[in-house]
Amino acid sequence: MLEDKLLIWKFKCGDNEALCRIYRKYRADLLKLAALLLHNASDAEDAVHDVFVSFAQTAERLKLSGNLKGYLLTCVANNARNRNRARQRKQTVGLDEAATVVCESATPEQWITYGEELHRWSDALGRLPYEQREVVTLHLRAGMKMRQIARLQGVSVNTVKGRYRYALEKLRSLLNGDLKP
Amino acid sequence: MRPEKNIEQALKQADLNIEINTETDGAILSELIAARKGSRSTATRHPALKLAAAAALIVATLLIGHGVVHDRKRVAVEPSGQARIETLNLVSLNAAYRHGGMEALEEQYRKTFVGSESRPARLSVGRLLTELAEDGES
Repeated sequence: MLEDKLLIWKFKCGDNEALCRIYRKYRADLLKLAALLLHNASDAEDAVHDVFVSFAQTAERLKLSGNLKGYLLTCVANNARNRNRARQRKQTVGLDEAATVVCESATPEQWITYGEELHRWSDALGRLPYEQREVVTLHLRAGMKMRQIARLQGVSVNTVKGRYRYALEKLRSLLNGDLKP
Repeated sequence: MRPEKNIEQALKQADLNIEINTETDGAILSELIAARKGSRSTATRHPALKLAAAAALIVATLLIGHGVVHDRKRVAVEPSGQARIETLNLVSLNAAYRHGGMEALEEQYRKTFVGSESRPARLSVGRLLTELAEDGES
């Protein structure tokens, strides 16, 4: 926390090393979150890339009240939601078909390669409605509270809790027998 | 069937490994630094540019405004050469008629226009006499 405050101060003063440090410190977490939210490697990479570029460009205007990691995770969540909406508008294939295509298309310029565990969770979460997936991922992986997620999604806390419950039920049925005890 | 807690714990503690392509990673980092530098130079230049633009606008407005006013004043105060001659001629003819009547007017007319060959195109003796007669009656 203290290190982050120092990094932000240095970053705002124009220290490129601070930017590099922030990037190296949080890129993996952000990429994992984006991968779980978007269920598409290329979209996840683009989302994190966009967030970091915006972050780099807005150094002078940056006024951070909370912690840096939370801020960046929220940025990724917002970007992922926008991308998901855009993808839904453009989508021409069924969700079941899309699920087999995602995560497996590797190109030479690919930024990340999923590990086995991430691949499995990404597939499972990809079968949930986006709102439910977002609640579960942000709560369990980004450590956000229900209240924060409710504010992010623009719904009540009870709605978020409901989405969380439905998501866990569906995940349980999807991963039944597939989880380690 | 497993309880929900298991799902929660499993996802929370899942070891989600990713391999990061170092080449792409380096390229993205360079891009970020470039974006940072770009935004910094824009940000530092921005207020100066705004100030300069505002100053230029004010100076241009003042110059244009001053020029327009100055031109208007010059038009009002300084008539063109032809208009000035005509005015002087009319004044001299009027004065001659008042002092010496028609004879003095004809004399002044000869001195003014015939001798100098600077008779204005718009001025005729007939019109001048009409104007003078009207002036005398009023």
